[in-house]
Amino acid sequence: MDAEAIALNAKIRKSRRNSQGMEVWNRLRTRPTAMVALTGVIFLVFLALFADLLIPYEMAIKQVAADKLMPPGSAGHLLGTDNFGRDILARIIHGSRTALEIGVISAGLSLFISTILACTGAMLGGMVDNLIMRVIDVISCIPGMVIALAICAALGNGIWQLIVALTFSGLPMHTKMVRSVALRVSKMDFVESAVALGAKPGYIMVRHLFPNLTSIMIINGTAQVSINIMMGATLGFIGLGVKAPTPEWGTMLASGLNFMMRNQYMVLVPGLVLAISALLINTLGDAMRDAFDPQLKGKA
Amino acid sequence: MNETVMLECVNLKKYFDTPRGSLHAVDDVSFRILEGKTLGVVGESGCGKSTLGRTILRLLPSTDGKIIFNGRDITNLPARELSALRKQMQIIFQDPFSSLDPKMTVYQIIEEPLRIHKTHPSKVERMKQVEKLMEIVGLDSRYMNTYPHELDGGRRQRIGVARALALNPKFIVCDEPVSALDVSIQAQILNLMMDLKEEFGLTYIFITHDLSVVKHISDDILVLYLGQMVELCSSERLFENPLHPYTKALLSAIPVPDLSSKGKEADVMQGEVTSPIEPPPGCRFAARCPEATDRCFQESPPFFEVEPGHFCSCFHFCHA
Amino acid sequence: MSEALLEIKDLSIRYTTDKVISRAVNSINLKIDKGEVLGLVGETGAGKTTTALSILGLLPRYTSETEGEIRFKGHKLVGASEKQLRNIRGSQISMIFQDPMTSLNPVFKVGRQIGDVLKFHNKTMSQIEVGQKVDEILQMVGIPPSRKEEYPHQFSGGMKQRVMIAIAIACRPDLLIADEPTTALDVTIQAQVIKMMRSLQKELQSSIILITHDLGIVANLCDKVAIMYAGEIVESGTLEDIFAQDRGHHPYTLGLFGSLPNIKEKRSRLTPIRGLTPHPSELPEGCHFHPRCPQCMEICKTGRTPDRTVQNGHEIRCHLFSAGGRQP
Repeated sequence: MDAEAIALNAKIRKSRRNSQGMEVWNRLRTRPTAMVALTGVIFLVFLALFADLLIPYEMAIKQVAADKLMPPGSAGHLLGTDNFGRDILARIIHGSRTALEIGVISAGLSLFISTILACTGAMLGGMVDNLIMRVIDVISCIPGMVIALAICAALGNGIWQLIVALTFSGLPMHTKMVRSVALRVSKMDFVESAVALGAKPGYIMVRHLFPNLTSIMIINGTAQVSINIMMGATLGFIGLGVKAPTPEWGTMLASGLNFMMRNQYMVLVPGLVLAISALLINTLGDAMRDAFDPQLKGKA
Repeated sequence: MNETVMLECVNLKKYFDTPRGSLHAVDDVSFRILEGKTLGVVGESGCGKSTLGRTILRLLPSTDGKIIFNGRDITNLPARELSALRKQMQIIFQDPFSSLDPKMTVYQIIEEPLRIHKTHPSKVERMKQVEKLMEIVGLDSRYMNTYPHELDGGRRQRIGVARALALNPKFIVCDEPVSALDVSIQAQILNLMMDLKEEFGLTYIFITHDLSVVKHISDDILVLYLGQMVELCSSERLFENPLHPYTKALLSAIPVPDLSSKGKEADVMQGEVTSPIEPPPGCRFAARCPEATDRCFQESPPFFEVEPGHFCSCFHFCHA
Repeated sequence: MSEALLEIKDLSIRYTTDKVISRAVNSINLKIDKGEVLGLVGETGAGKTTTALSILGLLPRYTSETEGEIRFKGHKLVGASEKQLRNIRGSQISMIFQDPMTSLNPVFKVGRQIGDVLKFHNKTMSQIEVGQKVDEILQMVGIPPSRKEEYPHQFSGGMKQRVMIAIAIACRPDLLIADEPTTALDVTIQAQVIKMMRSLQKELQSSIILITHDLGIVANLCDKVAIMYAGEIVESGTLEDIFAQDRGHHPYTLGLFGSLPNIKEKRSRLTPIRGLTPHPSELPEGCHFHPRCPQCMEICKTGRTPDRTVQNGHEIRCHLFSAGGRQP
């Protein structure tokens, strides 16, 4: 490339300063609630990722303490031990890994499948769109819990079965929302312009449709992670999902019920952790919606 | 003088099926545009002018009639050949906000046609071409990596023009390109379009509802009402001697910005536009026409030449 | 000399969003007498709508700051309580908004929406009286009273705008603010609406502030004109003052007239104003118009904005005309 071309190339490289992503970040940055939520979520992710480095896994699954049912604040066990003598803090930290695995993977899969279904429906319209939406309607009629029970009954108990169940139950909401955005985008003049330039439908979907769906996907995705973590814990509470002794917040809650009278911390600790995590992720999701929402339309 | 016919429409019709019946958006429109000329298509909402523009470009399938572009009948051209044709006929949209993908930079938007048709295989060639196009439309090259939402309406519209010019088309449909812009910017863009027409020998269809704008840029003007042709003649003639009652009403409704307008009571047309769905027989304008007769409600007036080069569809001029 | 109906003195309005300060209105002065029609002319971003909203106290409370004075019939409006403002809105000062499509509530019948305004300001009116008044008002705006049982979506754009006007005049306000009332309408419908507004104005003797960018409508309806640019009134006066060609004008005014396509003239090329309207958060120093002004002088680029020069009520804010310069 000659010198002129190099200069030109420098000009066209996307200015990160001005992209919509940067603007959203700037808006998030200035809101205290958003930053608190973001920090909390990052902390949670950190816990999940580095669980092994923080506390050995053994402490979560085997009896490590001399006594069982030690309350929080006891020596060497910050949050106490449970009825099997396992360290509760360890179970919480390793449980976060389970929770996030369940929440994130199922939300991600849900989103991925929904987006493909929604875009296909929106672009092709007609019978295809109708068919997809009717199937989605059927799924949305069945409560998520029932879907989960059915799948676990059919495929057995385990974390992957849970993830499949949660993916399914998240499909209707996403598909409908992404589809309505996709419909709106597909009617915009810039899509018509691409057609007028001779572009094919596949190109238009990838080049024009998908990038304009990122905001709704991020907003929905964050919300769905929170929902799925709760759902996963709920299912764990009723005994579906992970097998003992794998630490999971929902099962911890369930077994804690037996000790509610004398050792309230057995219920309080996992309960609070669940509530706070869901709150943090939800708040982050709301903040993201606000940050994406005043879409600057470029008024001079 | 070049007498090639760039575009010809013959009895073009575009109907839409709605639950309430057939919507006659474009109903039997025929005209010719010579190379290098501009046809202004004027009318109010619901007259079918935007639909006409899109049907001509084959963005909408026509219901009946023929579209002949540069001597070639493109009415039913198969998709593959149509794609090649797109290089020669382009469109500039009305809304500078929705006609540009908010996720693409200015460079990417103007480069897109070059990529789709692979006209400039190497990136360097594309970069240089985009730079040239930006210069032609008066956009500083420092805007290459900005996003549309950072720019104002006038600059965004220039991007649209640059994109339309990228493939060196001969024919451009301009769908109300200045209606959404401020007055002082309108003038800039109109001047730009007139200059480009001169420099590149372009042929335009200029769609607008604003008669004062169309006067400056058009050689000929076609007035539409509810999908039908109402009057067609040269731009000068239309303003000097409008024939059809609708054209006259349209002209008198425009408030003129000088002291002669003060307190003037325009001859205001009564009523509202009737529905284009399953239109009743007779002249579509009859319900609002101050000069309507019984015949006007029963028969549709033909569109014919009242004087050389001046067409009109009104019984008052029909001496047949 | 009788008191002006509305008097605006040194009004300045600033918006603060995301730490960016936008100076939307910069020290403007306006006066309207009873029965007058004032055209407030300018392009997008000039500050016209902001001015209108500030008269009614409709600016966002936390992101805007207002300085200066607005007096309506002698009472101060800036700083008035929400309760006082609510009593004035709809009954003494009314506003007609630009887009009739979104300004009417889609779930209420049209008659109900007009009736609501009447009932709010006339708490002692009986149901029957309200019904009769609604019929009367609908007739005044050219809508058959039988249509009061219909919903907004059953009306066309022009008719919706008439409904808006009906709501605005229901209580016979002294001042009507019309914000681009015909911009969204077709030309022939626009002509109908303008004709109706003129006859209403004569009948009700209301004053009107007509916000528009269309100098043709201004020529048709207005008695006085004020031209706004970048939050300032750069030129104001009677209709004759502004439209007379044999007088001095602010370069922006000249630019506006020059960029208008005029069907009566035979120019082949328009003479636009070069450059772009500045964003209210990035106003140029000195005279806000100087970067675009074909007659820009050194003094225009720095220092303060030009003073107002007044001659027989015709005001211009431009160094070309200030002390020692030309006379308007």
